[in-house]
Amino acid sequence: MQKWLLIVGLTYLGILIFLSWYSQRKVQSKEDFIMAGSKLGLILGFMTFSATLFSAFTLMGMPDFSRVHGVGSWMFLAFSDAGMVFLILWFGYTLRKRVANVEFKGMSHLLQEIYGLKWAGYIYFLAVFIFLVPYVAIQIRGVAVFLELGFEDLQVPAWLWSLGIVGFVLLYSSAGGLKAIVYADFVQGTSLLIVVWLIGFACLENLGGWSNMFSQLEAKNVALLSAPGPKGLLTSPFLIASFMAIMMIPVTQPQLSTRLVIMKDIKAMNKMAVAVGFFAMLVIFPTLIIGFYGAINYPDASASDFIGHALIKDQAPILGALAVIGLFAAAMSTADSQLFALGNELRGLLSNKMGESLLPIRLAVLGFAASALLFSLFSSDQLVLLARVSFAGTALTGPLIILGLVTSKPQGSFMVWTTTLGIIAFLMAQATIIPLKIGGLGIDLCLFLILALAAVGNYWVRKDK
Amino acid sequence: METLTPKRRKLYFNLLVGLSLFVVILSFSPLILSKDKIEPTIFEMPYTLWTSILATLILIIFTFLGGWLRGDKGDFTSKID
Repeated sequence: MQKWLLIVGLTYLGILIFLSWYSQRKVQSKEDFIMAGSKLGLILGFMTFSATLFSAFTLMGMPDFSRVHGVGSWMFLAFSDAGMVFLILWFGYTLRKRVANVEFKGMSHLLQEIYGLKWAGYIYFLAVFIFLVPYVAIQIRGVAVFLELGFEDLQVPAWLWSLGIVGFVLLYSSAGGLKAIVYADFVQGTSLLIVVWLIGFACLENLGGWSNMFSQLEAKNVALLSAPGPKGLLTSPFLIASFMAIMMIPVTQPQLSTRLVIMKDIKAMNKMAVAVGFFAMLVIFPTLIIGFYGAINYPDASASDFIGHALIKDQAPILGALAVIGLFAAAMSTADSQLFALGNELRGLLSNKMGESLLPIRLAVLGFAASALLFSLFSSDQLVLLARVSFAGTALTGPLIILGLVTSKPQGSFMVWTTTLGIIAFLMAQATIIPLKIGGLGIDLCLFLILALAAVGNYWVRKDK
Repeated sequence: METLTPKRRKLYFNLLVGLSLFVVILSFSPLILSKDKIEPTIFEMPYTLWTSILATLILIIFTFLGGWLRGDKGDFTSKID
């Protein structure tokens, strides 16, 4: 397999280096570097959005999640993604309308302008930093640990694999800016889709076909065929909370809200939303098949052991090599966008003079990458559940953002401070200082509902002022 | 599509939002998330799987229709293809 890995890997890296060089040549202004020229058409737009959205979490996490929790995994991710793309129609339009005549310097800066309060931007930035850096880290770690296990004979430790991933991301994103990331996303999204289907088909063939897969699954554990699944996790409250958190991703996560702003026009953005919805279905479906393959063949294996077998050891050498590169691609496509978006958010918070230079954004991306790398050394391997915490944490800024965007009247500081308290409560719950559940509902859903109600109340109180 | 005035387009869009909410509520109800309910199957897929795939598809089709109703500029008054 190592021969194939070398061929596929070098081809992939060669394409990325070429795209980085190509986009560097095309970058003629600060706008080109930070916002990729703000003229993305349908194809590039939907591929960069999809590749950023679907990460190592999809290729490694989702098969393992469906192996353990069964068919309800579709509802957890694919259905939530469909809700998310519907929200894009309204949110994308509202956001673009708000920033139509001003330079978009990130959500932090926009919130400062809307609320007339510096802290509004700081709390948003803190939230995305606290929840996105670990998210980037768990993906890097997930892929690195997998590579370490898969290539034991190479004697390369996980931290060195992590360093390689981060180093490469930094190389092309600092050279070509967002344009390089968008082009790379196109390649990475395509690789992810092809790889996940090839492996899905191989797993299906191994199980003796579609019908056999379901009959074997039923014989193995009938609870896998309905929600809430064998462990009872996928209950309505859990799935509703996940739905809200995932639906809020384009609102609250800067790497995706930026992609809504840089679309060429509303028409392209709306079509992009539909395309992302179909892409989500196409990517998630085979991950379920891989998961079912694991539920039948490796029901008691550890997550990394199962993924190692399903994606590499049980596959033909060329397919295994493609899976490794697919994982690299998936981890990089999300990590690059998130690190770059964090850099841009920080730029928006800096003084006008400092924000004009590209140096702060480059240094910030480097700093965030170092933080993610450091965090990746200590994070756990529960990809999906950690990702969900990240989504739920950033979702708490959703009511603050939406309230700010829907009204042109000053909204005071109430929501800014309430959101701050909400995030503190969420963090305390994660540290088990306060309960994770209140009256049968998860703390994430409770806090989100409280903040949403607070935003509605704030709006009505200030409506006539 | 001259019969579709901006007012009517907005009305239909709001109807789509209402229908989407209905699909979401239905999807999280015991009607779909029913423990140990496997039958009826479609293409061998257990009940929860095919119903949730169907619900996902419906939301994506609603997204397409919603985008179309909002028009090229998203404001209900601009041209629709």
